[in-house]
Amino acid sequence: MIAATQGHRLMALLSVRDLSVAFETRDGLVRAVNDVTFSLDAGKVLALLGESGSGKSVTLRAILGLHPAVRTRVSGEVLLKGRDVNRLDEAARERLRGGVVSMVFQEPMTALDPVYTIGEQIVETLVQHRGLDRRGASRRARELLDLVQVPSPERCLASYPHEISGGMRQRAMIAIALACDPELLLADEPTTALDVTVQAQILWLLRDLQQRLGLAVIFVTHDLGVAAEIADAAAVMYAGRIVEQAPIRDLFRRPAHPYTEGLMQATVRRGQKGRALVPIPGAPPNLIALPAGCAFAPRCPRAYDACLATLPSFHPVAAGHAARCHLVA
Amino acid sequence: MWAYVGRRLLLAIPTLLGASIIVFAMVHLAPGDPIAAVMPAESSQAEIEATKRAYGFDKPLPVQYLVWLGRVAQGDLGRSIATRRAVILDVRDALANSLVLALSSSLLAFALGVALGLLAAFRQGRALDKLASAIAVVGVSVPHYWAGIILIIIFSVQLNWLPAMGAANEPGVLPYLRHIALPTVALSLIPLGVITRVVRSAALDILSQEFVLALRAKGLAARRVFTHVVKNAAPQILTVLGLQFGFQLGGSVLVEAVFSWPGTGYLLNLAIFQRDIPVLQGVILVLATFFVLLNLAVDLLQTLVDPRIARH
Ligand SMILES: Nc1ncnc2c1ncn2[C@@H]1O[C@H](COP(=O)(O)OP(=O)(O)OP(=O)(O)O)[C@@H](O)[C@H]1O
Ligand code: SF4
Ligand SMILES: [Mg+2]
Repeated sequence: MIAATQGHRLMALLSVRDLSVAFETRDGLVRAVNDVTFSLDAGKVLALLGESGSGKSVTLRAILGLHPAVRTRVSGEVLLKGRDVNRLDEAARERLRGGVVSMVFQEPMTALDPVYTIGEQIVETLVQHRGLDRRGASRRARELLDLVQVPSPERCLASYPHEISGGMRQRAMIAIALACDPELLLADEPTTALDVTVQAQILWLLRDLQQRLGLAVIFVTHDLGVAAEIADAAAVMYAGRIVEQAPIRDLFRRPAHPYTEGLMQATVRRGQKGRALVPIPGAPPNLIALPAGCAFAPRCPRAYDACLATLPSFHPVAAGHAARCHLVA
Repeated sequence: MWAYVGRRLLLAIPTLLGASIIVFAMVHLAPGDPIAAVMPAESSQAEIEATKRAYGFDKPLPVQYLVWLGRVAQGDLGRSIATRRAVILDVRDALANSLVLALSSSLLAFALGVALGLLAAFRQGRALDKLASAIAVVGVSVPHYWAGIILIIIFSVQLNWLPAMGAANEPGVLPYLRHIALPTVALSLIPLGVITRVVRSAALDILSQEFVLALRAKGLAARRVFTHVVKNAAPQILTVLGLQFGFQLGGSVLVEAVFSWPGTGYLLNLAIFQRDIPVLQGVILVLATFFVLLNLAVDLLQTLVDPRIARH
């Protein structure tokens, strides 16, 4: 995958290259995302895995160009349909957001504006991006709620977020994200905050929409079972770096990085859907003072001298499969 | 919604009764014999008793209260001990003058405070934010009567641009504006500081919420995001505006004194120094009623702005 990157970049829908994001805080520079490189073709699903704080959400926000200009350092390239989000002005980014890439959040209750109705929140997006009038936008809003299978769309459109159930809220959030026919959907743990029964429904809705609309999706999850069911490929993040990247089957059959192995052993395989990642002993490193060598070394059962001294680079394991580990070299 | 309005109106009645009792009792608990203060020093005991009877001061307190309340309910606030004019007339004129001053200073403070607060929040950490914070600190920490004196020294004494004292004698809008300008500025400083701070923190609070990120993530233009933030912060902003307006009505005693502006504060001042109890009672009661009604209006406005309050 790494070898193919150069030629591949021209045709990929999304191509992220050496993306780094650091936050200036009182305690020091928090290096939340470090040299992240990957690409995603139209219509494909990438699962983004990794424990809490590994930089998944920060990566998604960087793809949307949402990080504030103050006290945040963003470097590297985020090419969306060949255009670098980091080099665009705010107006051009606004056109990309919603129209080319959009996002579904973990907690729809906090991600929807509490004092606007669902209808208003869908309509305003359509009015701005599509130049529709209110009538046309309302009609399209109704269609969108049908698309995400809301049982009584009229009532939902007139409701404020606190007046409908969590599942309906997440459907409404998805409808907003899909309003302007984006090609790439960023889903940041879209089912984690929901009831278990609703989780499965939302997951299948997303799966179904992805296939019907030919969407590319980056699906952030803590759930390996979910990743196995919906993704084509996976990227595993640790301390702001992608440590392993592979087609989803390869990742499960032959995890190459000790961290990925740890994740597998802790939860285990397909069919065990719904089980969260069981934490590996030890804690992730302080992002303010990242070690010179492999960030996983303190917790790695197979660490040796070289691991502490030098940062492992990506080594190919098989076609499209690579891992950042000295053992793979 | 209407049930909520009804409930809030009913709740206002005991509050008003409580206020009337406090006003009534306060004056009777205060040291100093009000009759002695207005009677000539050489008055005989009989004359003093007669005056007491005439004003009803000889009856038991609860009876005095009920009689007083009954009259108040009909708009009769008694006669001023000092001027013999009906208190209601004095209070009405003073209230009108205070209202105008409260309105002008509030408008100035609202406009500047809301604009500064929002700008500061949207430019958090930058120069404009720091400037707004500095203005807010100065606004709330400088005593307004002192600011009033400084304004008089600069604009009336040194530059001779604006009059220092009283309301306009000659008719016309311009003389009126020239007289009200300095007290307006002096009186707007504190609410300007408070409003700037509250609006800034309310807007920052909303800006830090995830839905703002979500609004931007769907490509909404910055101008529309701004509208969302303002609408979400509106209940908090309205509350502070309402309270500040209330303070403006009651809190202008010193500024009105400095500028000799003939408002309720000036009247209150006069009544205190002259121990003019009916006027004192009248002014305080009218101001208390104003506060209660104002709070009510603010609450009701909030329910109109935020659908969550009334429905739950
Ligand atoms: N604005 C910020 N300022 C400082 N640090 C930040 C900021 N945003 C995120 N971080 C830090 O960056 C790191 C990565 O955060 P991120 O939200 O991307 O983690 P995540 O992988 O999404 O975790 P989770 O699974 O818990 O959502 C965290 O340590 C977080 O504390
Ligand atoms: S580089 Fe060393 S420490 Fe890091 S994962 Fe590989 S073996 Fe473990
Ligand atoms: Mg996250």
